[in-house]
Amino acid sequence: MAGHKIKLQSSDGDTFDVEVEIAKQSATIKTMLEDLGMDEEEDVIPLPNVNSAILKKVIQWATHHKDDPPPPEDDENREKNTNDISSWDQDFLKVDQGTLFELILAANYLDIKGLLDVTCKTVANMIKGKTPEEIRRTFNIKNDFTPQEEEQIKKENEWCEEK
Amino acid sequence: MAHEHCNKCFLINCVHTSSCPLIYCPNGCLSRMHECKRDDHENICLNAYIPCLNVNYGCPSIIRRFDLSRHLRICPASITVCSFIYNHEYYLNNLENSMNKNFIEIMAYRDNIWHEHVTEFEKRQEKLYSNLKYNKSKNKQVEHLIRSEKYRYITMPECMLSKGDGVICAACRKHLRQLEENEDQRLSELSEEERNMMIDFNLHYDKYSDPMTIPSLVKMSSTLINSCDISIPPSSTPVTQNSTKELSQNDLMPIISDMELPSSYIYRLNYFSSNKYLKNLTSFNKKPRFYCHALCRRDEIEQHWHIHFRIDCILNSSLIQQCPKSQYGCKFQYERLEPCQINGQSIRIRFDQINDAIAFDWYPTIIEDYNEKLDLLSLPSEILTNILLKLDSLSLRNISLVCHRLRALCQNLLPSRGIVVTEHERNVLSHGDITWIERQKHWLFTNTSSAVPKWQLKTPNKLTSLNQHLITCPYGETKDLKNEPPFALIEWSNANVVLKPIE
Repeated sequence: MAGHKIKLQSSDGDTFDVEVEIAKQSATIKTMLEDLGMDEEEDVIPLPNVNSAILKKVIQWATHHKDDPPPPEDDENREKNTNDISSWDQDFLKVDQGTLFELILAANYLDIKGLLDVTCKTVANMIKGKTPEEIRRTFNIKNDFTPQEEEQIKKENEWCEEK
Repeated sequence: MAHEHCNKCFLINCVHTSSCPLIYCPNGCLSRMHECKRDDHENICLNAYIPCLNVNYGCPSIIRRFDLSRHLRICPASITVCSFIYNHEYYLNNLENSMNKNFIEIMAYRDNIWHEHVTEFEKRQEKLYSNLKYNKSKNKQVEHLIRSEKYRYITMPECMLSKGDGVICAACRKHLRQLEENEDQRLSELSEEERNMMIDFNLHYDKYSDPMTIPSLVKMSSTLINSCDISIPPSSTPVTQNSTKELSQNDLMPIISDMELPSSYIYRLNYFSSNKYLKNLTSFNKKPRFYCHALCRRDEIEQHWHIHFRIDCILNSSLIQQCPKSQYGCKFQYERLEPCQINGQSIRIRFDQINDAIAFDWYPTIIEDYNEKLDLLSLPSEILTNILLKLDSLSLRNISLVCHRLRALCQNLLPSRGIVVTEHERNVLSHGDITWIERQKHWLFTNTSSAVPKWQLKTPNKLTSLNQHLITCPYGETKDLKNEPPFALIEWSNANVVLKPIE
């Protein structure tokens, strides 16, 4: 029933009123509602792993995507297309890296497949086509190979399986 | 063994169940059969788990039989070798406003390395093959010599039965004995001087063992010829050992299974990564023919071809446009096309030398806005794997060089996203035959990058606009022909002179 709302509580203690249909894009919340029978409006669902700022963004995303068809099942391990991010999502994800990663964690915790997918794609696009050094610079990763190791794996970037 | 009744019974509701009950397939494929035929059914059951067809080539997958055809498309051991061939021309001067340094220089640079690589490879191959050929002829000689002390130089008759084990037919044996007798007689008639020469020759036999100098006929044994008689002479053993050693010093040429093109060479990538010293591009042979020979998984070949199609095929036609006056010597050229923006970012093209590939950087602006608390590596492994699964093989190659953790995660993805190549080693058996045995399996990611989905015409600026250029093109000046002297066609005027009187 449209308009029926539930309350979501972030780790900071703020509560957000969200329509059930929107909240149900999160498989975690959906399961909670169905299994625990939390139907009444007074019930508050605590989400201790998500802070207010991120929860707000997640709700914003879910509201925009409430009419999307459910994402198709992944079939194979093939490389996924990463060039089909909608322009709304592109704008939505123009955030700093910290926020992006927090969104990924939240989407993973709340089990929102579409959001997880689009955020991971964004990160993947940041990696595509870059040299190892550029990747390190992009994500502030420390090179923990010794110079000899690095020389070796650069020369033979493969894994051997002895007979 | 099926019971007599069960042998011919295919009824799924058979009532003769006293001797052998009816069961459902344990794999859940819903077929029903007598119990004694369960094992037979396993061989055709669609739900049964079987190893991939390419298990011998290194694919570790165990899959349900009905999944096999789908699996073969992404099987790591099902490798194709790209057969693309191209010729490029390079006009290396004055390329204005190229998107990424100098696109045509990038291509020339790549082709240059490739060219050096092939030249070196061919040289090495030549050396290796001549080595093999040499050894082969030597081995042959060895097989046809009987190595008993006394008659060590009598050549074994070419017998149909002979397989190198000394067994020959009666006629040949008779012939051989005849030769031995002749030799005995000859030896007994030798003068002292000749005898010494003979001994001397025997002593230095090893030195003379070049196939060209082996004496055509010296002599023979009357003892039973069996395999230990023909035990390979001391001279030949070191030869084979040496050659093996030489070969390994040469870095044994690895043979790739499922190979279509003889000069495909697995270490091409390594060559590219280690090649730091390059010839000046201007001295580079500009019109060789290039072969791609890249290894691709079966599902990647399409993307790989996209890149050939978008870059190599059109490089000299629509990608790099030359001034229409180029035939008169104008060197002006410009890039006509560029990749469309994707996800709001313009794509940068670069040449990834260590991986021998054209790479498309989808997000070229690096914003260093790190978060103290949360960075990429603090994400749980499952999420990182999820991200890695969205990358193309080339990016996986690169990200596996970033740090230990990411390399380990990439390693887990090898069976689903990498390829496996078997390296074989040439092995000489004791009786001279040659086999190839498997030495190692190499797991690697290919250098296929995901293709740019769309290209667009580039908006020219002042420097690159062909219009602007044509106004000032030094080769575009028209001559005022009125003031030019008329053509003087000598032959023609002479002919006129001759023809006129006839008229």
